[in-house]
Amino acid sequence: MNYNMRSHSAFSKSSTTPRYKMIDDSSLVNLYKEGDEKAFEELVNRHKSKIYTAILLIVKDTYLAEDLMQETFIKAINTMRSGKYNEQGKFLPWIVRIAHNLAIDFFRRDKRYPTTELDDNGQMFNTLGFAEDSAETAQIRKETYTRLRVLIQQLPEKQREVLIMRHYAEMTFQEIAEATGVSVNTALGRMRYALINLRKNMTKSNTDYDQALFSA
Amino acid sequence: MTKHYSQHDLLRFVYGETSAIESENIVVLLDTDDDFRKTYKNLLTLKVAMTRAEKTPSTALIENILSYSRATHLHSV
Repeated sequence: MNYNMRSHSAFSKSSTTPRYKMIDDSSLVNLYKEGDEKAFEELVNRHKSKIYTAILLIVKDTYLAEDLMQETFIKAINTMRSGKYNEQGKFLPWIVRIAHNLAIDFFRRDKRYPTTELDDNGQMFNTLGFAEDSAETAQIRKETYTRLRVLIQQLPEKQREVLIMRHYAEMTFQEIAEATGVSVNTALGRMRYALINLRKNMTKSNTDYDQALFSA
Repeated sequence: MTKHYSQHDLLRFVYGETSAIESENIVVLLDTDDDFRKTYKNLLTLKVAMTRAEKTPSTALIENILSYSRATHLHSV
């Protein structure tokens, strides 16, 4: 079959062969539907951090995020296997939307809303490359990014929703506007305020790394 | 006449949603307008930081997902 190649900038780490890394999402889904498990492995590895982070930013609990991520993929696998997937190359927004709906369902069912903050337990690890940093710098970086995730979680719901959709689900502002029933300008405004709030709250901290992050 | 570019336009630029002409004009503006450039740098810094703040799920979870896929594939053959 013919499949489309990805641009160089879209490469990501995964355990699959270089051939699969070159193939775009839409073609990987088609290969998977034909029974190619390696194509699915590449899709999972390519997007696992974005999907997991999006869920984590909604539910604020690492164990629950892992459960929901598993549920999300089970649903996605079943949909693709049944031939009902027709997202035309938009795999990531589609699967993040599944995750978002499952998270909302969970809170509705459980009648509780997330209040816990992120923790860094031994099973989790950051995707940041610390190899070139000293141990101290690496620690400051890690704390800064953990703090950033907490600050994203604390954003007003509508701002957080747009930020997750644009940054982690890679939806365009037009797609976000359509999905949330607002104008493109409103979606852009919410994103802008989300980033203003994040910056304001990040700079409240006096750590060296925070200053370095925003003094450019 | 020079088009005015708003912070919303800058946000679309940072996320690669501006047209080729808009992008070209914004690049010119970034060279000449200090405030515009400062806002751009702040947006870009946050964008990079949000990407670096991504977390990776456990290896066990990924293995579970891949196992489920393989198992359902075997059943559907």
